[in-house]
Order: sequence, then C-alpha cells, then structure tokens
Amino acid sequence: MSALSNILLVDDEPLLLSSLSRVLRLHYTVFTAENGVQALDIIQRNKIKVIVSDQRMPGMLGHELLGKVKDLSPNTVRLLLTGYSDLDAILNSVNAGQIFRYINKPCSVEKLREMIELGVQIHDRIVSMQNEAKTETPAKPATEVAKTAADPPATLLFVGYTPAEIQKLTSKMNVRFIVEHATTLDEAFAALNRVSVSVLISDLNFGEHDGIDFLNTVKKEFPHTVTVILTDIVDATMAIRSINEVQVFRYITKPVSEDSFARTVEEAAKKNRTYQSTPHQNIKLTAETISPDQAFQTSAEKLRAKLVAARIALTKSRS
Amino acid sequence: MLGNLQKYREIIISVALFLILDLSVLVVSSITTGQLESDAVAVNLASRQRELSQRIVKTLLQIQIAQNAEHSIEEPQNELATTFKIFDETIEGLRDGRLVTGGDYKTVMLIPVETDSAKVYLERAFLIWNPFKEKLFRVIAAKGTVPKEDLQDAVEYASNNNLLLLDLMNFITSEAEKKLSDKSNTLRTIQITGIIAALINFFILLFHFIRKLRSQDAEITRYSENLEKMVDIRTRELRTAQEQLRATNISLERAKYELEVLNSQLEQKVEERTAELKNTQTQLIQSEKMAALGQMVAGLAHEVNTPLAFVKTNLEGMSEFQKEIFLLVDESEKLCESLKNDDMENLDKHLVQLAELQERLKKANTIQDISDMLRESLTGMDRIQELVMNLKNFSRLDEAEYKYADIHAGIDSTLLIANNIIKNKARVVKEYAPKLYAECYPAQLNQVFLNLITNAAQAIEREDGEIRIKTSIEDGYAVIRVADNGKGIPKEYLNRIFEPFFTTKPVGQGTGLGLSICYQIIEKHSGVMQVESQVGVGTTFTIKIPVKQKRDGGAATEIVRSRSSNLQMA
Ligand SMILES: Nc1ncnc2c1ncn2[C@@H]1O[C@H](COP(=O)(O)OP(=O)(O)O)[C@@H](O)[C@H]1O
Ligand SMILES: [Mg+2]
Repeated sequence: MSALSNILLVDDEPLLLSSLSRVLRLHYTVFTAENGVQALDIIQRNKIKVIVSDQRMPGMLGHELLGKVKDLSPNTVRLLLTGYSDLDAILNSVNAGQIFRYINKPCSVEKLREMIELGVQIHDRIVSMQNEAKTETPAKPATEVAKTAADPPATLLFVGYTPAEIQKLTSKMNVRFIVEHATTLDEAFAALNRVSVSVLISDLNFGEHDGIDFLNTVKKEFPHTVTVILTDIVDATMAIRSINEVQVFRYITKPVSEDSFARTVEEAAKKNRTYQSTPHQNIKLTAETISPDQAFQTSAEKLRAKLVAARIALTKSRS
Repeated sequence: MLGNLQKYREIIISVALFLILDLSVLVVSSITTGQLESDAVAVNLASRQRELSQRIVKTLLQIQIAQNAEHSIEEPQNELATTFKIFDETIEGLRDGRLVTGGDYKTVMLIPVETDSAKVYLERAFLIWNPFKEKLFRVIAAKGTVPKEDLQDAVEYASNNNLLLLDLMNFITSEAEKKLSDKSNTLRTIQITGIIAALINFFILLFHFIRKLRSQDAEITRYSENLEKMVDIRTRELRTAQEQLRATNISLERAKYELEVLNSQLEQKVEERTAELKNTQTQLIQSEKMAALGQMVAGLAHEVNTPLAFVKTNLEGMSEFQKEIFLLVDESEKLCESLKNDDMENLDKHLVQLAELQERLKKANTIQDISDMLRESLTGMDRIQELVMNLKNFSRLDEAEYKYADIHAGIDSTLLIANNIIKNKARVVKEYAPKLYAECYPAQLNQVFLNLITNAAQAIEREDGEIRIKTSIEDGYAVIRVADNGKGIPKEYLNRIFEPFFTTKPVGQGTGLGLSICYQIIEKHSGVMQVESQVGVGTTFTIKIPVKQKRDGGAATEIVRSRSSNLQMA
C-alpha cells in the first residue's frame, strides 16, 4: 500500500472527475484537471504513469493535449476518451503515435480500471527496461554500427491490392525492398510463414473476414512485423480498433501520394529493424500486444485456424 | 446611242433622200410654174397685140369716117391713143422686158421673147411698127382735125401692113404658146419624174422596212421562240423551285409541328425539371435541416453523455460500496441478535468486527462518498431531464398554429441545445428586456435562433469570443439582436448571404441554406431581418417580428419590403 500509482484524469465536467476519482481513489493516487493547461501543469510537477483525457474540451482538445504530453513525459501512457469527436483528429493522433488506447465514453468503471491498470504495467515495464538499458550503455554503439553495416533488404507484403496498384505504390521508393503480394488471406498467411515479413501493408476490406481481426492474428504470431493500413475505409470505429487491437503503425486513407507512401514504408522498415536489434523493445512490444478487447474472439479464432492450417501446409510441402 | 444611230442610218438616209427629191421637185416646179405664168402673160399679151392692131385700124377708120362726116374725132382719137400706147408698151416689152398694162389695166411684168424665130418675127414687126408709129403719132397729136394727108397716109399704111403685122403677132403668140406648152411639158415631166422617184424611194423604203420588219419579225420570232424556250426552262425551273418550296414548306410545317411538339415536351420537361428542382430544393432544405439536426443531435448526445457518464460511474461506485454497507448491516444485525440472545461470546466478536468495518468505512469516507454520489447523480439526472425538456420545447412539433410564446424561453432552450457548439468558442451575454412575448411559431423561431447562434459561434476566431443576445420591444415589434465579435462578413458577400446555397464554409460544414431558411421563416412572420457587419470586428443580425400578427398578411408584408433596406435577397 506504500506507493499508489499516479494517474491523471482530464475532463471539463467536474462531476465526472469527482465520480471517477471516487471509484479509482482506492487503487491510485488520482490527479484531476478540468482543461489541458491544468493537466500539463500537473504532468510537469508529478510523475504521472497514466493520463486519461476527454477529447472534447474547451481550449485544448484531448488529442492535442496528449500530443504535448508525449513530448513532456514520454513514458506516460496516454488514453483518450472519445464520446463524440471527429475522425480527422483520431486518424491524425493515430499516425502521430500520440495515443495508446481510445476509450469509448461512457465506459464502465471496470473497463476503465482495466485499461488504466494495463497502462500502469506498461509504464512500469518501459521504465524498468530503460533502466536496464542504461546499465548496459557500453554495448550500444557496437550494435548501432553492426546495424548500419549490413542491412539486408526488408520484405514488404501487400495484401488486397492489384499488381498495378502495387507497381504504382512502390515506384517512388529509394531503398531496395523485396515485394510480396497476396490477394486472399490464405495467400497472405502462406507468405507470412514462408518469409520473414518486415512491413505488412494491408487493406481492411476482406469480405467475410474482419480486417482488424486478420491483422490482430498476424500481430500475435509475428510481433515484429510492422503494420501499415492503406484503405479507403474512413471510419472512426475502424481507426480506433486498429490502434486498440492491432497497434497499427500508420492508418493511411486512399488516395496517397507515392512519395509519402514510400517515406511511410521506409519508417516502418526502420521500426521493424529496431524491434529486431534491441530485444528490450520486445517488452514494450509484448506489453502492447496485451489486447484488452476480446469482443471479436470467434472471428479471430477462425483466422488463427487459417494461419495454423497454412503453417501445416507449408511444413508438409517442405518435407 | 451611237449604235442606235448606226441602226437608224438607213432610215435616216432614205428619209433624207426622199426629202431632197421632193423638195427639189417642188422647187423646180415652183420655178417652172412662175416661168409658166410669165409665159402665159406673154402669150396673152402677144395675142392681145393682134386685137390691138385691128383696133388701131378700126379707130383710124372711125376717125376718117367722123372727119368725113365732120363729127368730133376726139373719142376715136383717145381710143387710138390708149390702144397705141398699150401696143407700143407690149411690143417693147416683148423685145426688152418691162412692166406693161395688163388686160384689166393691171400692171404685169412682161419678159422678152426668147426663141430665135420669135426674135426674128419681132424684128420684122418692129420694122413695120416703127414707121407706123410715126404716122399714127401724128394722127393722135392732131388737134381738132387730122390733116387729111396724115390720116390718109396712116390709113393706107395700116391697110397695107395690118395683115402682116397681125401675122407677125400671130407667129409670136404661137411661139410663146409653143414655149409655154414646152415648159409645161417639162414641168409635167419633172413632176412625174419626181413622183416616180418619190415612189421608187417610197417603195425602196417600204421594201427596206418590210425586209427589216420581216427580219425583225424573224428575230422576234426567234427571240420569242428563245423566250418561249427560256420561259419554258424558267417555268420548269420555277416549277421545280415551287415543288422544292412546297417540299420545304412541308418540311417546315413538319419542323414547326415537331417544334411545337418539342416545345410542349420542353414545357413538360421544364415543368418536370422545375418540379424536380423544387423537389431537390426541398430535399436540400431538408438536408440542411437534417444537417442542423445531425449537428444538434451530436451536440445533444455529448451533452447527455456527460451527465450519463458520471451518473453511471457513481452508480457503479455505489454498487461497490453497497457491499461494505451490506457487511455493516449484516454485522449490526448479528450484534443485535447476540444482544437479544445475551450471547456474550459472539457479542464481543461482532462488536470488534463492526468497529473494524466502521473504521474502514470511515477511513475510506464511504458514507460521505455515497451521499455525494447520490447528490451528484441526482444533479446529473436533473441535467438530463432539463435537456430533454428543452429538446421538447425546442422542436415543439405539436404546434402548427401561431402561439403567443415567450421569446426568451425559446432563446434559452436554443442556447442550451447549442451549448456544445458555443461553449468552446464564446461566452454568451444576455441583455433581455423584462418580458418578451410574441405571436409566432415557436419551433420555427427557435430554428432561426439556432442558425444565428451557430453562425455566430462558427465565425468566432479569437480567444475572448462573445455572443451578445439583446431583446427589446420597438413600436409593436419584438426585436432580437444576435451580435458576435467574430471575423465579420466582407462587403461583397453582405448582399449574398441570404441566397440559398451561399456559403463560405467548407463542404460538410456549411450548406449555405441556414440564413435563407431564417429569411423565409421571418418573412412568414411578417417580420424583418437585417445584418450589419464589419470585417474583423463582428456581425449583428437583427430580427423584428410583430408582437401581434395581422390576420391578413398583406399589409405586414408591405412593411417588411419597405423596411428591409439592408436586406437583399436573390
Ligand atoms: N455571424 C456571422 N459572421 C460571419 N459570417 C457569417 C455570419 N453568419 C453568416 N455568415 C456568412 O454567411 C454565409 C451563409 O450562412 P448560412 O446561410 O447560415 O450558411 P452556412 O452557415 O451553411 O454557410 C456563411 O457561409 C458565412 O460566410
Ligand atoms: Mg449556418
């Protein structure tokens, strides 16, 4: 009981703050702020493990506040409460990596506690990992040299696009990539089992199968693969799920310029390399993959079965 | 002209010839006629000489007789003198040509004889006359009585020579006559020749003209044939043209008919399109309403969501605390039981447990929390209730009639509905009149207020945004002013903002129908809507509606027209 974790709640409705702090007070040291300015002030003066902010607030909007928090206190895990908000803000915050999870408002106390608890755990692991890294400091430059010395070409897997589209998308790339493509999910799983995919570029529209579930399955089996969603589905729920369930690296809506797409893919490949070269990052990675949302369990299970089948088929064909 | 002259040359020459011929004949014949006249005079006088010579002889004899009878000789003497004089004149005239006394004692011109034989005869006559003249002269000159010998001499000479003289005169006369007939023959010949020549000329001309006419006729015939041909061709051409024309006419008729059909179709199409447009317009108005509604609903959802969120949290919290309370109740019941039963053993135990529980609750401040939670939840429920009430007020779907309604209440409920839009942008300052009621469709007026307030909030770009709502009553009109300190409206837009679809906002944010709907609603209320704006300073919309509606809308509309000087509508 000695040290309760510090959490910060931000909402322009004082009665919501008071009700939330009452139910969280037993487990956390609860700070509250009624607007962004107050919140930033608290963040600077206290070590806050998790911040939960409402999106719609006078003055500073929630995602703007969390963007600033990311700079001020990078280890603070950021949760956004979205009751009613516009899609642009969500998509932007997804791509700026500002938010750990989106929480729909109103949310049950139980679910909120669960999210906050997850946030606290991740925070703690990241901090401990950083501490370990600090003690291992001398080794670092060597790895970096090694990393830059020999970069094997990264493998890109496109799922759900026509060859012409892929041709066009890859036309402006400066770095050499190995390009794989799949039109069905079966083909995608086969490819994932066959080669080590660095960046998965996927659409979300696969008819009977839920795109997010597909990515979720991939994420669990191949945690190092970085996911980029390129789709014409513009939908707030999808965007939120792609963060909450898949921790998508980027959510891009079509049409996209070849230049900016090339840049995104290069960044994604770099991220994939850091995952592979610094094993400590894996902690964060696994922590992030703890999915709190089990709503699409059955659908995900079906996909997992597909993956297993693909793997079996592959081993059979190899032997 | 020259060509024409050339063409008429023949005619001109012929006519000239004819004229010259005739003229010369005329001249010749007139000359000849003149000569004939003088010739006739000569003939006449020459023949008179015979008579005169006989008369001379006779008067001589009369004188002799009278003298013999001793009568006066004066009368025959005078006659002799006269006769003598005329004879002498004439014979001289015949020889030399001179004026002589004619038959009726008129003076005529006598021309000399021309033929040689006549001249010879005249010579011989003079040879006789000259001695006779002397002898006669003495008879005439004698006074009273003529000397006998003179008279005898004269009579003897006369009777000796008279016949010869007479013959000579005869010769001369016949000579003159011959000449005269010669001349008249010549004249006749000339005249006949002239006539013949004229005739020839005439015939030549005639022939010529006939030929000419005939050739002209032929030409004319040819021409006319040609003409006929041409006319034929032309006629045919004309006929074809006519047929073509008729065909064209027919096709024109058809085209006209088609046009008429098209026209009617067009009219129908226009009607259809108008209907479609009207439909689209209503749809658009509907969509603006829907957009407004959507915005409102989204806002409302947020407004309801917030109290709902904390009420729910409180209830969840309370259900957790409830377990503690139940434990406490349970423990107290057990304590009571032990007390009743004098079960000292358990009483002690329960007492300790109860104390522990109480301590825990006290430490967690649960009791206080529960009362707070209840109070706050009730506040939340009140807020939700108020929102729902206002929503009902705002829409007032049940009212289709004019109602004497509280304008302030309408504005307030609108502000509540729009709170979500306003609260991040501006504070609201109300400057209300003590009381403001007006006859109106309250739901529609609320729509106007919502539009104006939304526009105001959307126009605000500064930190200290302010929306000032001022109401008053001015000569029977309820006046509502909505002023903001937003970005203002540029002059060039000021008379366009009431146009349907005029918007400066991006797609999805503005439909451009808000103000045009407001305008319609205010117009329906026989009211006026005005706008004043200054870029960078702010905008004020003023609406005025009559507190009491006139039952016949006409006059009120007049007021609207005349008063809405600041307002232009497309
Ligand atoms: N209070 C205001 N301040 C500045 N501009 C305004 C204001 N109200 C209306 N406007 C201008 O008038 C236009 C038309 O308004 P409106 O008919 O309500 O359509 P919308 O709001 O959908 O654009 C707006 O796009 C805006 O440019
Ligand atoms: Mg508007």
